Amino acid sequence: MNEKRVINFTFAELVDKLSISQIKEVLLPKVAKKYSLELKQLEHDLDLLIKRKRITMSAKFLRKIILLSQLNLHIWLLKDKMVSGEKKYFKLLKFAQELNGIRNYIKNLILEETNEFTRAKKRATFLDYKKRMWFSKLIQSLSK
Amino acid sequence: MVNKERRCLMDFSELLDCLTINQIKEIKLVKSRSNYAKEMRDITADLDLIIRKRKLRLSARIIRLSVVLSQINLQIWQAKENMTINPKRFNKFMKLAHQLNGIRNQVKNLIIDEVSSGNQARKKTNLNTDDLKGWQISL
Repeated sequence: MNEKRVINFTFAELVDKLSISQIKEVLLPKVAKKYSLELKQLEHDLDLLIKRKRITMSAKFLRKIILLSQLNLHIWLLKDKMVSGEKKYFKLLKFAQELNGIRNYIKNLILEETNEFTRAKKRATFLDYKKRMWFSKLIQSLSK
Repeated sequence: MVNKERRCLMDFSELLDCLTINQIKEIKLVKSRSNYAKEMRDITADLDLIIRKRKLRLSARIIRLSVVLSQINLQIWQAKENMTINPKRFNKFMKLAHQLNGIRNQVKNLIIDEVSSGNQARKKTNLNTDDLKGWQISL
């Protein structure tokens, strides 16, 4: 295995990018090859970090990856609706912003689990933690 | 004496599939969120049992397969939503959901291969995507 890193991102960023490139590979067929190559490089770097940082598999870790990849697709589909002249533009935008906040929250959790967390790398979530929001229990369940 | 232990348990790929679907429901179906959260707690507990028992290791491959499976299930959900929203295009979205289900089953079989579940009888056979254009996933 080539030991040299190709892209110098954190594990959380790599997983996030992988999930976005996966969406693009499927939904942008004209440039799919470009994203197939990107996905290979991302997989390569992920394997390096898994080995180097001895990151282990757990169901909760897999759930975070699943949710992160679905949130990116939810946000993509919402943006598609917004640009297609949907009447509920601001409602959709607010929902997309909330989902993006949860996405950043998960990335912060992954940063902690992979020992890459620093104040500079922490993502701002802009989530309202005090009120009983629809996502309150969801984020609680992720951090337990 | 009759053996009362269950013999047909869900394998890793089925549990992962269920986890991705419950995760969609937790976001989409507001009223029953707590039910899906509870179901996911049970699923993750079982997944952890398999991970420990089989000493499964994390890899970029299993991450990628999890990403594809979770997104394909959301795309199928989206197609089914579109079936109800756009009755005139019902057949188009119904066919798309069916085609995507073929990809979903292919991915589940790759997960079975990856975690060496062994039991070939668990593999899905409905793998056809019926001339689905695009959706070239480099797995």
